[in-house]
Amino acid sequence: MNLLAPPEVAPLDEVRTSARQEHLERELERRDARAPRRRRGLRSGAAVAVGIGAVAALLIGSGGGPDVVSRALAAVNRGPYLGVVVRGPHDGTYALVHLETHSIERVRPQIELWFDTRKHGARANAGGCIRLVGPATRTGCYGSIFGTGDPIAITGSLDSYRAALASGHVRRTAEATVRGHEATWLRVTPSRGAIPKGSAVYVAVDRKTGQPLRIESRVGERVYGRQDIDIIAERRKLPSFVLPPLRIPPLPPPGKGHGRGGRDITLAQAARILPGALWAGRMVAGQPFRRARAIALDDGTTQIELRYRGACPAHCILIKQGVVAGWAPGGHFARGLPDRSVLIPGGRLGNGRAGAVFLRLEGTGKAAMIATARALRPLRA
Amino acid sequence: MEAPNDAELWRRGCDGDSAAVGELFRRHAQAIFMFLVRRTGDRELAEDLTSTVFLEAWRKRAEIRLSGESALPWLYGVALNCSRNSRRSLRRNRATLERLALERPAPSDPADARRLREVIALLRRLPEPQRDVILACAWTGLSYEDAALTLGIPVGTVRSRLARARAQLHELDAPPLVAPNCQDTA
Repeated sequence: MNLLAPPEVAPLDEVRTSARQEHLERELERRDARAPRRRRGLRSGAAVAVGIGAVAALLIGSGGGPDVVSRALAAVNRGPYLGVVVRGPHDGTYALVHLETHSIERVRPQIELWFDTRKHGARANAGGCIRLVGPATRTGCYGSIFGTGDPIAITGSLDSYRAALASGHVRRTAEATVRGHEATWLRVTPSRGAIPKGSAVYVAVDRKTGQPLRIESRVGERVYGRQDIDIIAERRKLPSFVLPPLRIPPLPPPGKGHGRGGRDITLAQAARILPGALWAGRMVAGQPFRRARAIALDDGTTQIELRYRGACPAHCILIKQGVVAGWAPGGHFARGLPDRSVLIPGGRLGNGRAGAVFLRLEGTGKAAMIATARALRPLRA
Repeated sequence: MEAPNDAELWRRGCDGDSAAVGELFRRHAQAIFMFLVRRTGDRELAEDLTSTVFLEAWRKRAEIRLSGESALPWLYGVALNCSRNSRRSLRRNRATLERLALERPAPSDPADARRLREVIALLRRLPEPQRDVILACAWTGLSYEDAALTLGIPVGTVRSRLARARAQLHELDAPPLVAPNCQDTA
């Protein structure tokens, strides 16, 4: 036996590697979120802590509050056009897979909203867009659908937040340090029926500037929605890239925009039907390639489907591709993605674009979806 | 777009960019995993230790400055420490690892597993410092310099321990010996 030759070891499979990578990123986020408090606690010492506590108690219990509320109102009454950015937690759930390098980039979606502060109600919502932000990727600002009835203050309608501040329908609940700022938590009373019964909206505002820092939806003590907020601009005109809010379109009637039937095809036929199509090889994420199908859409184009393993949605990976960002291949959202990339937002769907081909991945696990996206290669005729 | 090197990713990670640490994991997890399987002989333990290596590295980020472009030799060093103190490392990160909802790995090929156990059992007849040099140089293919960085010993000590290990393996009658992969990078 040759002890100086390395013993053969099978590598860790891709699905488990991806799962462990996601887990690592989530855990570091958790630890990072806890660390500053601890460090500050260590630095400040007991005497300073007592001092801060005393000041906080004074502010909560005395006349510091009204100033905070008026400052909060002033901060969102600038204009005429006010830009606000809302960022969800950077929990590593959004994976952008670059098809050329087969690498994964964790991106964070941020929603940019613009308000016309001269208007009230839903009309104050002037438009917005979504950006994906990551270490290497900064996507453009592309429009998305916003329901004007979003119940949460600020993100849905700045006007409801302004109205609550102006009418005194806010209650100071706590002082805290939020994102490094000394902040006051305000409980905003939303309009009747705007949010589920038993829940409440809380906004942390900077005690000095009144700027909103964070918004949380809570039921009792449980926080079920947390977003960071920044006011990013105050402009005379609405930026040209801002698109007006779109109402969610009604579902198409049966058959409209959908495919009719379908037929099994060979891989060579698939490559001819859809030049530029991609596939993930004979086996991906432990699932063997099963069959290819061509589906004629109502708009005259053809979509191909590549299915791995058994019937969806039990255990499968399905790759849908077409030349339009139409029904199955992703919708308008895919148009805004960087070319040759697939975005896997966290569930069991992924949308992508590779030149003129729009992709949609469906599967039964995120790790398998990511492994599939990373395995995508041009399908040769 | 040029990919950032390990040092740049580590710097970003220390600044709170967990995705950068994730990218480091993506680059080096396989190498660390194989290193740990060869050291412990246990794939399941090696998997958990692979995660632990990156958690421990991040925990000690304030003490660490990467000198070269690649983080791998240093990560091997962390892996070595984690495997030496595997119980303590795993205990420290137990809550974290429990949040990883992952099924147990599929059992490896019994023949492969048996061969690996036999090789490790033979190697364990050497003193630990010599085993680690074999692991770093012959099994992982590190240069003398990188092996020194991994093991936290001078380059000369790597050479001398390797020579002693080879001689001892010869005495243990474990032929045939082949030239180790260690090479001078200069």
